[in-house]
Amino acid sequence: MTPQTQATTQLAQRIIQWKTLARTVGIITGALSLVLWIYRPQIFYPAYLTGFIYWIHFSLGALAILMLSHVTGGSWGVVIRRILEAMCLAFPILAVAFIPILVGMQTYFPWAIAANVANDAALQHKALYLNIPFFIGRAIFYFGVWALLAHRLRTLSLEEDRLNRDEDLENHSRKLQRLSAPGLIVFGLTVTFASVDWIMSLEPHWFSTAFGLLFMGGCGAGVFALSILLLGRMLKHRPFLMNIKADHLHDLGKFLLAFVMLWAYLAFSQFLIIWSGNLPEETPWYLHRQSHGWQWIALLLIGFHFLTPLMVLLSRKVKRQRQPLMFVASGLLIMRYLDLYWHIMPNFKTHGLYHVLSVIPLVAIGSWWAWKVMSQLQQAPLLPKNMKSAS
Amino acid sequence: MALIRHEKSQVPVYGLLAEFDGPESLIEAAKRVHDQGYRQIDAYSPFPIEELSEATGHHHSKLPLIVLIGGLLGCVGGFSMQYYAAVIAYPINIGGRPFNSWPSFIPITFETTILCAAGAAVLGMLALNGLPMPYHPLFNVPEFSGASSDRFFLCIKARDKRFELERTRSFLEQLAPTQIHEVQP
Repeated sequence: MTPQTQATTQLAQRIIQWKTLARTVGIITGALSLVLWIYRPQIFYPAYLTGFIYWIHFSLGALAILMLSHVTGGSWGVVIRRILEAMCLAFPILAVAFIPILVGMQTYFPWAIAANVANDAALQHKALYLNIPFFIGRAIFYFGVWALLAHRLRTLSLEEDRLNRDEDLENHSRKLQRLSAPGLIVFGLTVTFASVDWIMSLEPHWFSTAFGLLFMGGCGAGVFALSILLLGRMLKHRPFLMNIKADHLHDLGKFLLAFVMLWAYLAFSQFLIIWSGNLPEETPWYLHRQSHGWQWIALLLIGFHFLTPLMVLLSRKVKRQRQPLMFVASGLLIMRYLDLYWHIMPNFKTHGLYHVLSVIPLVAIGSWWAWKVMSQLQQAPLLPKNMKSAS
Repeated sequence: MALIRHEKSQVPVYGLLAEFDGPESLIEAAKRVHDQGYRQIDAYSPFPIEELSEATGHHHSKLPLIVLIGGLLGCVGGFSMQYYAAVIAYPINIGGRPFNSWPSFIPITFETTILCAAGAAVLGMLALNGLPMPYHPLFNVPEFSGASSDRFFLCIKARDKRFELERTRSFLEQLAPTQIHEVQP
């Protein structure tokens, strides 16, 4: 056995270990979630939705960044391509994880309860869009489109590994571009509507046009943070060892910084517009999130989802080194959760205190998501063969 | 001792300019010159060579710090300007909002931050590299014009502590340059 294949199997074994761990934790927390669902549904439901959105937002971010990298090229996209593909391929398992949300629709969405709609003129007007059959139909459509895009991107990407001639490779990357460019438009539309459906309509009287973009900005920050963390963990092993340069980390760090700024820009724009407008149907959403303990989470987000990573990531040194970059990425992963928590939870609770049991559904969905991602990582070489083709 | 030092600063040259015929020999020479302890050195090539800044002992630029200070001044200045106008100088009730309506000050604060940071970048760059520079001793060497077509140069300036005209010249000769020029100040 040559040293190279030996080292490759080392990483493959690590992935198998992670996968087994994910499955074990998934079975335990899955069972606990079931218990929670039956005995404490009022804790289970909000926590489950937050957890679900948290994990799907990585898959969505991965899908967008994957298509972006096919359209623009660049070796930063090639080194994380397989990681992104693995994350995208988790849509089927996420679709299964969506079922409890459908079951609990009337717990989540005020517009799903007929009595609420009957007494509310605004909800009656919105009923054309916000009604149960259409909601379910849209969800099926979103998952179908995302899974299809992910599947097609993966198939084409694996096909590319079998090509050798420059001419064929050129044609093949055209093919990927022709799929990715319209794919990005479809992505933008479906994710905007999905974020309106799943997060914004929790408070059906409130609306903001920046909401979809804000969610997508968060997806981008989340997926870059997670990719940096995964790549950082695998960096010391082949095939990454010889192929990842400081320049690659530098690029990923720049993207992380860019998405942190995009998120902050959109989050502030939305706030400023609603603050200036000062309309009674828009401001309560923020007023609630600025009191009863929620304001501390908001301040944490300003400090650690924006100011601190902004200042730290400005440094060239930090972006080019594994350890500091992974540290910033880990912090941002926590902030991503807090951001979604701050968006979703205030619809169900009056105070900002975190209920310890909320962590169970988060870990349960995450474990099965990670299990699926690891299985996908196992099934293809961790670096595309024609690394030069896209650089 | 004082006399010798005085004499040294009287050396009537700007420096010694060694000419090379390729980037490899230039990088190699720059490394050796730097290893020898020379610090007042500069390299010139028709195209950017990445290894060169490392070989000549890549010194840290002060520019990022200047830009940061410019940005912070713009940030504080922009916010203070609006605070002064809206709270102190001419407080006016707009739709019942507080005088210190900080959310609406943020976009302008952001703009002044960028403006001052960009201004500091341009002016700081000019201050640090000394442009515009109507006269430079290197152009006293007619061959130096080749630096913008196909020649590669390495200059050791006379103000370097280790610079001694003859010693430095014989050291440079070991590096196999195609020519060595004395640069008049």
